[in-house]
Amino acid sequence: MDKKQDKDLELLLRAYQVPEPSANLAERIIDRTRPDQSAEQYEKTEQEKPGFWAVFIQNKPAMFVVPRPAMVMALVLFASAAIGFFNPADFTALELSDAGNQDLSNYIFTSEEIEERDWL
Amino acid sequence: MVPHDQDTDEDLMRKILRRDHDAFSILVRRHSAGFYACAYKICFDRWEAEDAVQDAFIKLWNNPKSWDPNKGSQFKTWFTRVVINATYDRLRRKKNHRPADEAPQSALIDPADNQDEALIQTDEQAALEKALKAIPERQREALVLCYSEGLKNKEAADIMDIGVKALESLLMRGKQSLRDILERNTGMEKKDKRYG
Repeated sequence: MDKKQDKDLELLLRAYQVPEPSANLAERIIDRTRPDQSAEQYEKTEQEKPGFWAVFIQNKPAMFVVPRPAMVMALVLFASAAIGFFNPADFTALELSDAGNQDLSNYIFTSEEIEERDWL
Repeated sequence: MVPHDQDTDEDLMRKILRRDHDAFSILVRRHSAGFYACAYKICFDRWEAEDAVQDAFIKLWNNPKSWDPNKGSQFKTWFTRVVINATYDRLRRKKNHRPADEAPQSALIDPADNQDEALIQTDEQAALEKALKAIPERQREALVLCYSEGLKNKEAADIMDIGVKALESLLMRGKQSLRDILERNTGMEKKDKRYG
């Protein structure tokens, strides 16, 4: 590249002028950052960040809030389990033993109703 | 300690770190016009340049810790990078969102001060601006920082986050592109005058 042309270009770039900015540009920026407007925001973000335990304690009630249908379901399951635990009805044992079967048959069908010939 | 006009930028920044708004005001009054000029040479739009400078200063006030005094970088060098980034951000947003005929926010705030059209540009200036717009972004940035802003190569390289050699290469290619465009445009103008 020709040195003289190079120099001319540099001079042209140095002399390049831009339109004047608004007269109130600096004041506008200063007004936008006045402490009364931004201090609260800054303090919240920088200085008054709550600690881990503060956040935990604040949110504790929220941890135990369960949506209602789920709460009802949970209560029913819990109540059923409690009833089952305190009142065990040993149906399994009754069904499996012969004596139990006989008792049950006798209860359902009376002896008059069931005659051996009826089956033949 | 009360901030003073004679405080260096770095002293003022230390005070800003302690939330001293007076120090911030001094810094803004001292540099807003200079940074505006730099932003303008990147985007060639007065309103976008003003908004970019405003964005950059507000960012600085809201998060002064982004300037690290221990890194040893000068405030001006560091903040030029912040302003250039803010300018590119605005240009990208404008490209994506703003309809061409929509007035910028600052124009609504300050309508009486619109002297943009009043600026009388010489033919040379207009041609230069046209050529600067046409060259690649990085080449333009290098030329603006080194010649228009008068920064040393090392400072400009730091701002652009590249090595001095890479900057020199960008400058050389930038000047070549600029000269080609200027010559082409001048040639076309002469042709137009001859046949017009």
